[in-house]
Amino acid sequence: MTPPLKLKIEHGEGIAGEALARLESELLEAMRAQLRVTPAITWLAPNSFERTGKKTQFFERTYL
Amino acid sequence: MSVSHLDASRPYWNMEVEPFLDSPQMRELQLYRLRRHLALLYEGAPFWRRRMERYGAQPSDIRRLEDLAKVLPPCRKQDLREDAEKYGTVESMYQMVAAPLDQLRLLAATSGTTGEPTPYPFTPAGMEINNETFARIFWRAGIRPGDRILHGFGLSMFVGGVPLVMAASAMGACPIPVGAEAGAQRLLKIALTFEPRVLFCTPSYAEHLIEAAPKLIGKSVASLGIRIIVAGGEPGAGLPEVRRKIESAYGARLFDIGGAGGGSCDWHEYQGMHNVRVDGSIIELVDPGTDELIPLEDGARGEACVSTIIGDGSMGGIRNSLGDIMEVTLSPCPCGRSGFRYRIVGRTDDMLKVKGTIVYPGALDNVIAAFYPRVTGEFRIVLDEPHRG
Repeated sequence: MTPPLKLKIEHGEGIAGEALARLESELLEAMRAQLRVTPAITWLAPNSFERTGKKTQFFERTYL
Repeated sequence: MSVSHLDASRPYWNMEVEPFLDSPQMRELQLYRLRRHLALLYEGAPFWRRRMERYGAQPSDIRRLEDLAKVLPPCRKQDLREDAEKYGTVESMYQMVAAPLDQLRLLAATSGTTGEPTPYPFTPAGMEINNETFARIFWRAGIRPGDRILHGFGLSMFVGGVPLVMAASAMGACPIPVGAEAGAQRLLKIALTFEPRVLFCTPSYAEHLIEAAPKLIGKSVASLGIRIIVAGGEPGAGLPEVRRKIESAYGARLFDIGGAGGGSCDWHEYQGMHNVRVDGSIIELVDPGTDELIPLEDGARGEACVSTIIGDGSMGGIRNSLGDIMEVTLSPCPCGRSGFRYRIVGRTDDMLKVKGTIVYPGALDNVIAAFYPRVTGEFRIVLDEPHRG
């Protein structure tokens, strides 16, 4: 796939501003160290994704 | 099997078979059953007869277990789809089973996310295999007859839905079939009322209940008294960070279950899933690109193909690919229980290659989960183009 790897991630309750920037920096470092990837992250509010109890569909496809 | 007088401290559900799953005699049994099963399918299941004839294979061609890969290629979802398109989904389904049409007792199906729903018919023989397999897995997880089990998988799921409820009931436990469809509030209310000792659900739903419980019932999940969680359908129950999050929040032990007859043990660190059905199925690893057989040795990794060699074909066929990339461990498990172990590394259709680096969603899940509660643990991978390799 064409880099960067794009991720949408829900942040926790009350995480915003500087706390969110710090979280992103730490998460990117962990991704680099453990998986050798540097994703582009879009942060979403908690509960943005539906919880179905079925198998999670990890992929969100934007192409037809 | 009568369950009322079982010694709860015994190590296995099936003491006649499970202690011997790693014995050399098991390969002899597998060969005998494979040959017998191929003959049964050849005579009674037109789908499998067509497949054998297409590749010039006869049941008598199998003289050693290794011969199977020489005469038949893996059977993937695409093969099932092509047959369903030609004969119709229902007719194709019936033709996979060597039993009269009126023997079907349950029909489970996948959601059909990537096409038509794939049917999974259960005959009495198929149910017996399903029940025995999960009884072995549940027993190793510490579930005992009489335990109340809150069922939080989607009830329509194959295999996590009704088949799992039936298996739990058959081994003498008491499932409460609420299902994820009922929603977190109802599930938690039932948990408060009936105080189940066991919870069945996907790992992500177990995580969701951690967040939801304080808001919906004013209590944490730790207060529910759940001591055993059996989770599957997703990689989470095999990921260290996700396991840590779930086990510490609930104060429970988390057990991973997989589609090839596998369940994790109670060793304090995750050791993969033990294959508890060595006597009833054969697992092979193949290269997903070339179909070449990968020798089953310590650390071997490849696409898992499963041949069910008992029953009548209703619980899986020959060299069925589940789409899982599996890594096997043949050395004895520190827990002392039988059955070689495997981990699901990812799925053949989930593999991403970013600048030459292979990444599976499960690996991303594990990294993200380590940041809980600053993240909820939920994420998605955005694809702007198809991602095959």
